[in-house]
Amino acid sequence: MFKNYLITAARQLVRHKLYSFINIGGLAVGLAACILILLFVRDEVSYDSWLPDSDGIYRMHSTFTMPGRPAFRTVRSSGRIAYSVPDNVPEAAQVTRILQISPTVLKDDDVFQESISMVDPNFFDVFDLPFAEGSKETALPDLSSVVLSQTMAGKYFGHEPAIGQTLTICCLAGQNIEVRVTGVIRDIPRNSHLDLDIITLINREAFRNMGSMLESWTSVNVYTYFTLAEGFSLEDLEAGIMRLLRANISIPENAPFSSVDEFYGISFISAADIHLEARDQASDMGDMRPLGDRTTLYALLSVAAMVLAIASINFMNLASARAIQRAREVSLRKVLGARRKQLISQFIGESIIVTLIGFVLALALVELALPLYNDFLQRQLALNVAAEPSILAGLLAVALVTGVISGIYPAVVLSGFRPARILKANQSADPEGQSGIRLFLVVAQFAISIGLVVATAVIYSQTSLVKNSSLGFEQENRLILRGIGRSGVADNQNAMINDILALPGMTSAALSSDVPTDNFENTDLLRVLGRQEGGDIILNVASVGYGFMETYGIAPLFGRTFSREFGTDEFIASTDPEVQARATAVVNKSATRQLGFKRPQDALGALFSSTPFGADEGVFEIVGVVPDFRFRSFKYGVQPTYYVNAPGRFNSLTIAYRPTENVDQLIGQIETIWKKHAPSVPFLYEFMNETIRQQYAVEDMQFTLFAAFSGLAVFVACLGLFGLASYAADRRTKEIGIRKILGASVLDIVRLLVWQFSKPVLVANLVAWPVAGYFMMDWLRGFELRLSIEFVMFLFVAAGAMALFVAWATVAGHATRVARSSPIEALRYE
Amino acid sequence: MLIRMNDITKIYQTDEVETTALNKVNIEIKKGEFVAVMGPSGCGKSTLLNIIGMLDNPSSGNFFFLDEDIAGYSESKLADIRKQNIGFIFQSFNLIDELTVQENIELALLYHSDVSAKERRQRVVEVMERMGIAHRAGHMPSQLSGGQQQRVAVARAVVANPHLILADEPTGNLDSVHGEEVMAMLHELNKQGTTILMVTHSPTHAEHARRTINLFDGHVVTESLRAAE
Repeated sequence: MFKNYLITAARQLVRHKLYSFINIGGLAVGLAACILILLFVRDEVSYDSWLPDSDGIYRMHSTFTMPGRPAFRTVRSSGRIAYSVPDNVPEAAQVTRILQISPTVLKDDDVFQESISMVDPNFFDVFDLPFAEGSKETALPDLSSVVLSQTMAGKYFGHEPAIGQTLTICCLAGQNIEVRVTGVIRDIPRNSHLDLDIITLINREAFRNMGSMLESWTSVNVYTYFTLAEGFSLEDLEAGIMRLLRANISIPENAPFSSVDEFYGISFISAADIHLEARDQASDMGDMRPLGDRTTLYALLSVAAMVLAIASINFMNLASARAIQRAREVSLRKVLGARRKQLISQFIGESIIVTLIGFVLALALVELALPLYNDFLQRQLALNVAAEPSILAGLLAVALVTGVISGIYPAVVLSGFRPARILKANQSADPEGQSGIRLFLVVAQFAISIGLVVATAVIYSQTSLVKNSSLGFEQENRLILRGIGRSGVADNQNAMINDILALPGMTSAALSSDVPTDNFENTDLLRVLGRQEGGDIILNVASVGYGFMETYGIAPLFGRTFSREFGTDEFIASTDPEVQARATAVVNKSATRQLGFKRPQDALGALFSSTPFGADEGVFEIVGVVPDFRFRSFKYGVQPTYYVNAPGRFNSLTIAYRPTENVDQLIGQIETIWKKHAPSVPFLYEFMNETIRQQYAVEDMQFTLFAAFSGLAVFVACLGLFGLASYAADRRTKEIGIRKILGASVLDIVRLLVWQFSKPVLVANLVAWPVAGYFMMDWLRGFELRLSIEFVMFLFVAAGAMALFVAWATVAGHATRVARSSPIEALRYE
Repeated sequence: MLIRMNDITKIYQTDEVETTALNKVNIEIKKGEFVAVMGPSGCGKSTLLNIIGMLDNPSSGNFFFLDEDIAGYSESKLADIRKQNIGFIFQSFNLIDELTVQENIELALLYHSDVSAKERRQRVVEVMERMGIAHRAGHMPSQLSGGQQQRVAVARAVVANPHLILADEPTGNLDSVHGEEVMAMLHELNKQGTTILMVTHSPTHAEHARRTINLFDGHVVTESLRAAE
């Protein structure tokens, strides 16, 4: 019996090639999409799962909520806290920190810019990283020891043993230090939030003169990790840390908040959850490696389920639509004594066979697509079914479930035929209501497809709106040189700038502490002089040099920007404690609101006192108001900011140049000048427009994934519609013949068939729009700058029209062929 | 002259064989005639009917409809001539399963853009009453007996007031009682002036016709006339 089933199934597949192609092809594409998505998801959830006790190591995040400012959330925390934890917070078993800096490393005559992770001595007790040379017991005995990753050891010492070798790091506290290698760890796997290459101990004394780095309770510069003491929960730990903060932070008089809890918040996240959840809890900047997020994973998983659902619906629809052709077989089997149960298992079996063939094809498709997929994702995902039988079993289970689900409906329909009726009269075997279910399924397919297209269109439009919206400054042809405040360059800044400006094609150059795209929050308390009411006001501060606004094409709204002509613009700290330094300041428009001025121009001439960068106090006169250009990306709000001209804080140089064909030559020339003036400092440059683009790299990647898989869903849905149209055209051959004889033209017939398939698509729109609308509006609410309702509605209509058009294109071919055929062919053999 | 066929030949060609369905057939049919076409299976009866119905093109020869040589007419022009002049009745009724009796009949007028919706309904109701199927207007074809289905088919054929009705074995699927009923209807239509060309196997039914054309192997073998009643 089973052999007979197999033979029937095989012959069905071979004979009805279009039908088989659509079913197997659709299922293969659907399953392949699923597998690819699952591989990505598996990789995302695997982050840090290799790290011993990754569930039990918690990182502390900080949130600052200042009145009138968007909350500043960060994955970093105050470096000061850890020093007081052992004696004051019994809830913590261990606390350890990572402080990353980017000094230069000297080896013989070579200079390299490296990221160095400075850690606490108990670091390897908390993070049990595997060592390739040495061990955690002998690693980092003192301040002049260093642990390297294998890659770094290879880079500096080739194949020689690294332990005992030395490197020079420049500079800590203004001087070179020589460090000795005491251990080599295995490279941190790619699926980790940690990015550690060169590890030394934190030298508290070396940072003493940079007060905010490790000694401030509110300045956040380090990653702090905790393990819980026996019997305590995370809530206990949070309470303990808050206790510590309350005891040590004194609220300045006149501050717009009265307690630590009001503006300072902390939260914890386990190392295992960092990759997927840190972004929700903090922000997506400041982590060691790019983060993922669960929402994207859920979105992708639902797309995977939808593609599979669409492929299953194809199978159900085509199999039940073809029921007529198999009615005779079913009836005969029944006459010969088959029970309904047997028939149902026969048809479900066929469905499973089809799904399994699709599954094997899907594995092949995945193998073909993986190199491209990996290239795109910048990962090394692999599907090795032989090495991972559990994966194979899981995927096989998905395929089998798909097969059974797809098979049940057609099996029930087919096995339900009454043989007497089928065999006696050559009547329509389409039972009442069955075409209704098919219609419902087609509507479901297209509703899913339209929903996905709508979502894709909204995400794309919103992303391009944000990307293409003016950030308020010129970003093309702007070159940024980093590290210009380092010792070794700082003294030669002006000479270097003059040399650079002498190059052909240069238009301007300006120094600043930060440049747009730097995500920073540097807040100060300000007090407007001569005003009684109200407390202090919190503003962001940046130091910008002469010509900075002009270099970025920013014109003041009112007043002026910094200019050498006045001689009063530079802020130089006062050396006499009795005398306050005076300088001028420029503020952005939202800062004038924050400062309490009704109209921006009213701020001109106002005096305020503040302590820029928490270092030196001064009195500033507002001489200009500039627009709210974006220092941070559109993902975050505008920060009310004041700008001072404090040369001691300059660290970046922006160079504006005329568009040139030969950027490489330009870079070469500038590098030559840099090396002349600062031979001991590595030459680091970036292009503003590229940096801005990179801010959206993760979003772009997620969007492309989503769009590609949505496209596949639509494709599979159309495949099904194509099959259904071909079936409908065949089934209606007689009717079409009659209509033609009665005088219908080819166009009449095409219209008839196309309309038949337009109806479900139109209904699908009505189903898809409200659902997609609900989710997409919700998503859009997360953006400060977002698409207008009218435009979103336009996208909905456009997606619907596109679905209709695709359906027409799919059906019209069949319709035309059938409509053109001679009616006597259709009616000859009744 | 309604129909004039000069040396009409129709050859069907497949990969291996060439079949001559009609071989130099010459036929003339005047307006108002009732002509029966007889002959064994495969003699070319249906082919003849299809060519006269403009559903198929002859391989050679000239075909004049209302004294016009229709060779070279476009498909849409032919469709126009067809819907203005010709009604079809088939052995297997060829009703559309998904449409009601009324809708099936109405279909024949649907492609006549000069007939208003109101007039269309009126004519359908008239013809249903004439054919005695008005009480079945809302039924589906599958709910009717064969005789009733054929009456619907006849109603559909005549609703557009064609000059010519082509009937391909209209009684072939019916028992003798119902067969006679349909023949009586055709007879009545002919009396009112409609030209009828009917293919039949039944000598009894052929007797309703004034003239019988016997086809054999693609040739007209005999033509016999019956005296007017």
